[in-house]
Amino acid sequence: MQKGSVAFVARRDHTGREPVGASIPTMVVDAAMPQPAVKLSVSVPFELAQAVRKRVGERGVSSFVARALQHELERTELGTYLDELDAKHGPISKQAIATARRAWRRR
Amino acid sequence: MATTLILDSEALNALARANERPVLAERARAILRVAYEERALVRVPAPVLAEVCRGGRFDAAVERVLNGRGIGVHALDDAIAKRAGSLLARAKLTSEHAIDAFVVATAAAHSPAVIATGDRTDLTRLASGLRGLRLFVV
Repeated sequence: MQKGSVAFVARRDHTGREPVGASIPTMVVDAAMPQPAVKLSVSVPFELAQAVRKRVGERGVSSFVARALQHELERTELGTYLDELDAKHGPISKQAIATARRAWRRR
Repeated sequence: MATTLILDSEALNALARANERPVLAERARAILRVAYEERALVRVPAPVLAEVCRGGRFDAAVERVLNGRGIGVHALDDAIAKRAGSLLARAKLTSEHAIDAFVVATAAAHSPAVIATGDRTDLTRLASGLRGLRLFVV
């Protein structure tokens, strides 16, 4: 496995302080990311970066961001797929949706 | 509230053969739509592919469902395999039901989860007593 890092770069806030995430050199080598990693610089709101760092620690930021990106990518793909199925096969009946929703929420 | 939807072979088949199985496909699409609304992950346990992939034209239909559709394949690992074995033993089922047991063990690893299945009887037996798992019959 290649080692790499994901730089997590936060925007400076209105005080002009150093962005909280800019100096996080997290190495991505954990089992949750078995593929070769690449370095990716992104900008996020200052407070969000602080909250993530507080939640997962400096070493956990890369895998946290990777999971979030993976989840968001999958959601986008799934939404597109569902729309394609609707276009091809017609809309899902309200009854089928209601049944599925009840099953999902049943405890 | 469930955070993951697990598809068994019946659910995956329904999506891959939506034209041939419109009723099952609509149920599978409905639970998929709800999973999307709930921001849940959607996963197919890898052993399910042994049931649905037989080579040839139909495999391409399965691959279309799994390629860039937001539906991931969850690889089988030793922890899930051992869990499946203990579920079979507890339910007094033989290895003939191994793939069902892999499905339930994978769902348990993602708990709370909903399993979309065509096999209510065996999966109910295997999932009996496991908290956080629900079945949805396609």
